[in-house]
Amino acid sequence: MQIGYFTERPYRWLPEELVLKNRAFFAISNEHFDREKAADDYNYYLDEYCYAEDLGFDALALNEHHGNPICMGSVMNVEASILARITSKAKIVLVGNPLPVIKHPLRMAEELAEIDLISRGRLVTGWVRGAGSEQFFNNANPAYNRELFNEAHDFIVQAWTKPGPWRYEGKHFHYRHVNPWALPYQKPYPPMWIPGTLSPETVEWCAAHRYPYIGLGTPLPATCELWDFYADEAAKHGYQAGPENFGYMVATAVGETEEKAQQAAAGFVYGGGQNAFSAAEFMMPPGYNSKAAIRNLAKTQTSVWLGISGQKLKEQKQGVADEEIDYTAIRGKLQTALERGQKNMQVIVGTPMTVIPKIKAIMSVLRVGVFIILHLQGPHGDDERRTSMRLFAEEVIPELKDHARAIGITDPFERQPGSVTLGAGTKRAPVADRGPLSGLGFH
Amino acid sequence: MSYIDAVEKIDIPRPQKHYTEPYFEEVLGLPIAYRREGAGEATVLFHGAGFTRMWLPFYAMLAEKLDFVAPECPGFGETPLPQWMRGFDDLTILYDQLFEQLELSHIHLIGFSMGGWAAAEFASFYPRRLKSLSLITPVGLRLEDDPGVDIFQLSPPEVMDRLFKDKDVMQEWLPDGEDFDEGIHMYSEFSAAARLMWAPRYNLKLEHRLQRLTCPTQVIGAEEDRLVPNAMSDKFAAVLPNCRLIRIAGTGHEPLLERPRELAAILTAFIEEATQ
Repeated sequence: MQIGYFTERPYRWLPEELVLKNRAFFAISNEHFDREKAADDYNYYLDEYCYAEDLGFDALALNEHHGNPICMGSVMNVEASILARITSKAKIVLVGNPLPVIKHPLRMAEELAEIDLISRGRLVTGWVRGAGSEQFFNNANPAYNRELFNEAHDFIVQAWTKPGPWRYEGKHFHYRHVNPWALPYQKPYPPMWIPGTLSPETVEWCAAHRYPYIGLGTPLPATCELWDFYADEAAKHGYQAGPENFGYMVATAVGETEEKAQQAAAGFVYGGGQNAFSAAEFMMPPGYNSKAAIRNLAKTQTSVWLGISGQKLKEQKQGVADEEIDYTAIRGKLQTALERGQKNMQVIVGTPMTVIPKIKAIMSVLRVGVFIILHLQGPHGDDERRTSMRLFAEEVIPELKDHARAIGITDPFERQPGSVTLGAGTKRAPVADRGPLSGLGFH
Repeated sequence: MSYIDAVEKIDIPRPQKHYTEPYFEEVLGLPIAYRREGAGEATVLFHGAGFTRMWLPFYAMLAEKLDFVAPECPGFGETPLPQWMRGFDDLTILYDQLFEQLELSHIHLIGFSMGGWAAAEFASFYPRRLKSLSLITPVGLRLEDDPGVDIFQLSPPEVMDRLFKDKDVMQEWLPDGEDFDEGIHMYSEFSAAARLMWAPRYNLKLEHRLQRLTCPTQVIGAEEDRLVPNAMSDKFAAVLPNCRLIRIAGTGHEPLLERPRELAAILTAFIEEATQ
């Protein structure tokens, strides 16, 4: 069982009313960026990852977003490079590099190889398509997003495996001399874990490539369905999927008392939280999603921190006419959303004693080999952050590891994902256990 | 039909008002939907990024005196989007082939908004096919001082608001907010628009290429256009040879829907004049 630590590294100095007024974190003017405070925070977050390693987290997860104070990581490879040098044991997990918006896969292959070398083989490299707003920020044509993703990925794998020099003549990318001197430390290349929010196309792609899929706080019943879909696809490719193929990340806040835990969790809806990642018009740029995916997304209320919901789109369509913003009322709604998120188990909050059974339940249902916490959002101070981390690491992690052993969880380092062959015509084994769902209030 | 994205092929919803069955002409393996009525000078209109699948009242007005043809761009209306459609050059070649098959050897070409850009591209490649060129609130050139708003960054209600000066007319043309299939269809049309116009949002080569035109040209701007700055129609008028610039007072970006009679009269008169 791999237990990971992840934070969005929020910019902690943004007045909440600014975000509420803008209806989103994305597109807030960088005139509100304070260089001194940001310098402190970039250094703090690196130290925090070292602290996570010291506390015993197996994996340190990084991501990146662009033009968005909800996440200070704009170029995660920079942070990953530093962590490669200043940490020594933990895996460095990138969830993940947004290939279509970076648009330079050869450079990406070189950067990641260096990170893997400096860390002596601790890199786990993941890929994403980039959020909708990223397509605007980087002027990446969303109509070609998936094409760019697939081609960049396939190119990087070749760049790491095919002895150079050679010439690459693709559809979107063209290189006349591919021969990166630095190759990854791990042979043939680092493991890849793919995070997602239930887009079926991505799951299908992961299953075909035998890459573990990491559900990002997705609702449990829908996640079970997706696990089944992954496992069915895996069976088509002749293997039995297992816990080593699945991961899950969920917002988590731990406190010495329930009250303190709730205070720490409040940051998950600060300014609207992940639901206010970007305004609706930036979430689904044209062509970014297939018609089928749009249909799924808009009809499903996803999660408190995922940012896309039918209701939200509807509100967006109707428009907010009020000039006067009632901040108290908005905060009330956000508090309700936070409570709903806890009830739906998409936000885990409590003392170690109350958090343990909740996460064990998630593990029992989803049977994941990788469990990552999305740690505190919003403007919480260093001490509050570290207390929550410490309580989780010292009191929760050992229990989770025991539970993993008890229910037979294998992680991607214990068993190579996709290595369990499944004979043609053989019925695949279950990958999720819906049994506990009704006891958790899901029907 | 291997060209067509199988994934994206779902049933296309039909607007409640003004829908008519199109004709289809298969061009390069692609069934192009088009509507055609009337008799007189052969006149083709390239539509903007919306209000497809309809025989608009404005079209009927043009068809009173003209042989009026309105094809639907790949990815719009009922014309499927083939993988190879990636830019205005692909569209230009497709339309040239369509005209060949429909025996439209010399035409009057009208382009509206995005279709104005498409018409300018077509004209720059096939100037000798044109008897006249009319661009209505077009886009496609670079405005260095103020590029205006980015249509891809607007929410659907904002787009509608900026399209119309006359909000009563806007109400008539608002899509049904509850009609989910229509919403998805509009999203997919915008996806086709992204292939054409996401980046860059202009073609720097047009200014040079349009100098080849010898036919009469006109640009029709809208005084109250809040989607595309008036500087755009000014610039087109400055670039196009033999050009006259008209600006319709008191209307927004959508004069086809806001001022159909006035616009049809301007176009018909211009085409008659160009034909003599």
